[in-house]
Amino acid sequence: MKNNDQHKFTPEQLGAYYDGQLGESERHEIEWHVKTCPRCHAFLADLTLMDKAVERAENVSAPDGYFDTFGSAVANRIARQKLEPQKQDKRFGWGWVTAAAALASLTIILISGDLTKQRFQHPAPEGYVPAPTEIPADLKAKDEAPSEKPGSDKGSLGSNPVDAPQKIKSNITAPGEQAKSMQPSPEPGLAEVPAEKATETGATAKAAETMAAPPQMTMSDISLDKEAPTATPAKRAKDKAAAREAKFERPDDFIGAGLASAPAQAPTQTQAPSVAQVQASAPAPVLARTQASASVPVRAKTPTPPTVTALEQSPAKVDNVTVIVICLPDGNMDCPEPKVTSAIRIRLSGD
Amino acid sequence: LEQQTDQALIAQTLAGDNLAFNLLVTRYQRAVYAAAARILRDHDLADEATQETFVKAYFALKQYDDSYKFYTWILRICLNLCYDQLKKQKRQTPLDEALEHQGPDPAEIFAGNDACQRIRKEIDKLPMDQRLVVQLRVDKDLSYSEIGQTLKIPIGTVMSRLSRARQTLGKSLKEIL
Repeated sequence: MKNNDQHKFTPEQLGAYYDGQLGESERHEIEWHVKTCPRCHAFLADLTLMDKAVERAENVSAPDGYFDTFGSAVANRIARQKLEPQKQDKRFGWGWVTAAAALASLTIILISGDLTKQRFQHPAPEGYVPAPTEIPADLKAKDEAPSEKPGSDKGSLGSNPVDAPQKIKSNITAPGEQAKSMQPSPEPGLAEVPAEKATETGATAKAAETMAAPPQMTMSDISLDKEAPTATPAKRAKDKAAAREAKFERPDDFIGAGLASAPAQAPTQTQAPSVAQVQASAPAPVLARTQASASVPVRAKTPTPPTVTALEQSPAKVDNVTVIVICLPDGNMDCPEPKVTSAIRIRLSGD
Repeated sequence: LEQQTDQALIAQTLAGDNLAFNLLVTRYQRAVYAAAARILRDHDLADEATQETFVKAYFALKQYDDSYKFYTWILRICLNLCYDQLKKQKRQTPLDEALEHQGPDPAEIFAGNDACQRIRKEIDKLPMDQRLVVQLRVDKDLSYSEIGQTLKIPIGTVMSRLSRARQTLGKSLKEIL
């Protein structure tokens, strides 16, 4: 604290000395020093002058008679506040009730929003390429090219029905009936149902049996003398009934939502199948039958999806194209059963 | 009763004797009002702050730590209220008014001439931490230790803040002192 130059004591110490805040020994020491140090003496003189001026300037004089009633004013205020806590508690309580209600509402909204998101956005498997929803014009000439195109728009399909040529006789097995035999549920909303839920229903188990040994499609499987397309209301009702049985009820307009959101999802399952798996195993029967409906028997045995040509060559207007992706075990025999990851129904109904 | 210590009066107040608390009010009302008036520079605001200080002290008396002086405890309540009031004033005062009036006219409660006004203005220009130490030190009853208790700072900090404030005031008030 002490300086080695002319000033033996710091301004803090000299100020404390002036304020009488030092111990006796230090006070004596400064007293002796100030007598012999003109600068410290002058410092203390200035400090005294300034302190007196500050004290004079900061001297407060309350209005006359102010303190005569001050005690009673405080007592009245205390008495008032003793009565107020009830009001304050009531207000406080309502505030909490309101806040709790708002929080509960927000929670419900968030949860429902999250559930809706889960329903509408099913994670697509790794490398999943969305099914074609729009038919590019250049594919008309390329029959053998795969029709899977990412970034498809379901709206274009819904509003642009594909008319099949009339030269081919139109007797195609209804997709709804095909789904009954080959899929756990023909309802398009399957895409939004988690795989675990599908497994719980037991429908997937049935599908697993079917899909474990994909049926070899032949020309005999393609009945050209069967029913007309599923455009009839009776057929749709039948499809819906089948869907309800499988507990996969979804509104019809829900198809689009699932279609739009499913490809955008990142895979979350640990055993997400690769593109090859999806193409080689899961979609094969379904797509094959779709192609079969389009009268392309050669493609029926391949996992490639239907082409535009196939659709156009179909003997009747294609009303529904159902695409189901089922994940089969990736060579892992420990996996007990395949899982349905998504199902998309594309409505191509025309006139 | 009037000669009883603060602690005894506090105990009686907590026992339900409101007269004891009234004595505490009478004992410290001038000092608390003066401290509030020095900071707020306005009688009405100081009156409000002083009354509220004692009301708050009454309802918080159970939390009083008797290892500190009652005066420093109640002064701390007052300083907090004054500080809140200053912040409120700062928010509410438009810029034009703030430029015209550096604060409420203290003429009614502060005696003195123009020199005293100038000194108060210079004090008000100090940083708040230094200003509070200077204004508390005007009350000679408060030691460095008690100022430190009131502001919750060490004695060394009290000394250094006071010294810096005095140096600043010494420079700014050199011509009038």
